Amino acid sequence: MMKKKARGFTLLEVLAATAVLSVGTLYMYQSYFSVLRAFDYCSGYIASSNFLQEKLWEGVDSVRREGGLGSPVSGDFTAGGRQFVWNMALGKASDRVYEVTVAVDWKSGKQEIELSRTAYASYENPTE
Amino acid sequence: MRIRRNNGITLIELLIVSVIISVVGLAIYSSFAGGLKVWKRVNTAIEGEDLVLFFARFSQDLRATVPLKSNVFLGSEDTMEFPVVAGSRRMGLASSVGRVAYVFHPEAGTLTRSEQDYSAIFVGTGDKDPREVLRGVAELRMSYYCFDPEAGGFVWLDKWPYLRPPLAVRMEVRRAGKSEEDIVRRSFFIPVAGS
Repeated sequence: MMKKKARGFTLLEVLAATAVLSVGTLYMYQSYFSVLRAFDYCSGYIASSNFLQEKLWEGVDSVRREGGLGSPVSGDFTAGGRQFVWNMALGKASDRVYEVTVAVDWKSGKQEIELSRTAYASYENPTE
Repeated sequence: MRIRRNNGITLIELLIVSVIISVVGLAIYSSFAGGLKVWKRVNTAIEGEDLVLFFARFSQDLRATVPLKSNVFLGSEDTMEFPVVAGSRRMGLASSVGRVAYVFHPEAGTLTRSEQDYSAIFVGTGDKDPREVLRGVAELRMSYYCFDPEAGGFVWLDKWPYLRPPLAVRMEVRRAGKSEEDIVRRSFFIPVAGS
């Protein structure tokens, strides 16, 4: 009977184990980055939220009073240590109902994120 | 027959094993350290989070307000009190008319909200304990929007002189440790105003 000497690990086994482990680590890293991205998006959302809502209010108020957007309709601002770009647009939903949209853009890592909110406003022309 | 001496490890084998172990160890360590870092960052509150939540709550109260002759809208620079339709504690699931008050306390740097429903007022068990809704406020100013027929335009007032609700209310908040440039301003329309 031949006795096979096979105590301990061979190099091939160690390499295979390393490969399995590294695939596992890769998935761990992916979830780690996605958590970071989600968190970054969340903090950007919170930092810009109050500004966006206030701009939307200003837009709706201006449409209610004058039937159009006041100026300016775009610009930038800093909040929570971040740079944001905002712009406001006016659309028509029906004859007298206007659609005010405010969009805020920011950079999260390499990604460009845009957040927009729409509100409706009606305008009664006092001269009619 | 020549006997091959093969008990023991060669230097090359030792080197390969130590390299593999160090690579694996590094990968495990860095993923663990990274996980800890994420955990730490996610556990610290995002700046301004409470303010956003507070404004959401506040706008909900303003949407629930009703114009009533016997239950008027009161407003000054640091206090706002108005009637709301809200769930009644005494009447179970039924909603009743109540009153909500927001008061800013400059010395404590807090904004409190208290809610009282009218069925409780009549019985005399006015549930009016104010609850803190915002902390760390250095400055807070409320103003009220209306049409001024004399000036022929819309104006913001520091004190609300009428019984009916204003067209909109505005809150300007400066958090503790922030400069004058970082004042957060939010305005809210009151849906029932003007009716």
